[in-house]
Amino acid sequence: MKRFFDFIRGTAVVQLSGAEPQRCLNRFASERLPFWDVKLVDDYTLTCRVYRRDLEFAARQAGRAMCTCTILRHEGLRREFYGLRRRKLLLLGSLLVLAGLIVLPNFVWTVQVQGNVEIPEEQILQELETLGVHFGAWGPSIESRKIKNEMLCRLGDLRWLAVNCSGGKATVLVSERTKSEPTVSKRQVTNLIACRDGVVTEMSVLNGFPVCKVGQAVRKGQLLVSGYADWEYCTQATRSLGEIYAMTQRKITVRIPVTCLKKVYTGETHRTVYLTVGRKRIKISGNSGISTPNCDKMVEEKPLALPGGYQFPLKLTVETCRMYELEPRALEKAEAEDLLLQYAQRTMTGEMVAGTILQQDHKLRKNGETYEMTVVAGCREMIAVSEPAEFLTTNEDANGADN
Amino acid sequence: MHNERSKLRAIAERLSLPSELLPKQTMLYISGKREVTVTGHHGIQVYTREQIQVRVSYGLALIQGQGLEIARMNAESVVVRGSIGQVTLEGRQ
Repeated sequence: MKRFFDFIRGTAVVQLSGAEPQRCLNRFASERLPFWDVKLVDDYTLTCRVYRRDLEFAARQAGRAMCTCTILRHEGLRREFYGLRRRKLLLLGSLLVLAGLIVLPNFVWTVQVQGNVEIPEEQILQELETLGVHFGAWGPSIESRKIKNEMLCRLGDLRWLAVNCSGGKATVLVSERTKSEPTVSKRQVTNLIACRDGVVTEMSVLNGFPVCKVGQAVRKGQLLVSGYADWEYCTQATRSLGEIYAMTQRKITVRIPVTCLKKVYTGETHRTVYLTVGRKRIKISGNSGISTPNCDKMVEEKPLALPGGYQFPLKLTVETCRMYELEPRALEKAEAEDLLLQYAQRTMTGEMVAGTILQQDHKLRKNGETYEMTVVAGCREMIAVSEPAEFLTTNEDANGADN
Repeated sequence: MHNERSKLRAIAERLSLPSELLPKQTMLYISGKREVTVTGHHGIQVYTREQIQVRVSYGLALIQGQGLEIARMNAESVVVRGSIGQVTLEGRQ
């Protein structure tokens, strides 16, 4: 540390020559002139280091001690940067770089959102931008607490938010509200009823009183498991739980036009390269004006990042547009069959609570300008759905209660 | 002056006070074979690589050795570094 301060203050190595150079040292010491690094050159000469500002005084004292004081060299900050006086542009550049190093990290160059699952990052960034957290914002002016309060008011799904600014990067830590699943009252009495017609193939009743059995044909809306169990001397009320699978039959009719539009690529491509600095996009090459909307656009972004993952607000964007024309084309029968069958299967599977298609039969016919397909499928699916149970009373029970 | 110092020394000895408390008291600290510190000196009389003579209140402190040099020096103390061979005290004749 002393060396650093000596470098800042500036020092000089002086040579003291005389009959008794040690008298010079005695004089310096008695006059409280700081000196160090004393080195003996010969019997009549020695060198030592003094502060630059004490040089004149040292020379005067050396003269009084009958010695001569010669400056051998200067060292220190002033000496090192003395040459910069002539190179004004370099000096200016150095000062600008120094100022940049001090000032630039205080600005926000990138905003990174962490911890969001449900809320889109774009929505958070958009809200933050209106509150002053954006590219080029002055970091020290960002008040994390104030922004947190504002954001919690604006985005109801947020539970907590914090903005940390460091080194030109604003990290927004987000915590979302956990949506609790609707609680099911265990006291509510429910039945399981069939949601489709079918033949029961498998029953797995966890709670409740089953009123059907495997192999029985059931209709839509028929009671499968009752929430009330009659034990003659009492009635047990419960919430029915279970899975009942049945063989069902589904029928669906799907249509598609005979002619359709198909993309035919013309082979023409437009490539545009942009350099994005913060929010400013600068076009480097290519033509961004496209006269026709019929094109496939591919955007490839290459952000400039350090190996650790820190991204600079600088990225290269390459947009490639492949032009095409839409041409009407008649669908082949086989192609239409494939498309319709896939769509029908997808629709039927999507309508099931759980289950699979075991077998299917389809019939395709041309009906004017459309292909029409009717698919009949044999499925194995879960047919039990829960429904609140009503307590039924007979007339006799009601009269008994009146009496 | 000399009498005053003698009286002070006598009082300090009687009160069992440490001698460092006495004004302008010469002290020699020898740190191993590499460093000798002389406080309360009156200047350097001889300075060579083999021998450094430091004037003290009662005479001379003679430091002998090889490659001797003055590491630090100010009005109160002088620090001699090098391969110390011998330290001799010589009173006034």
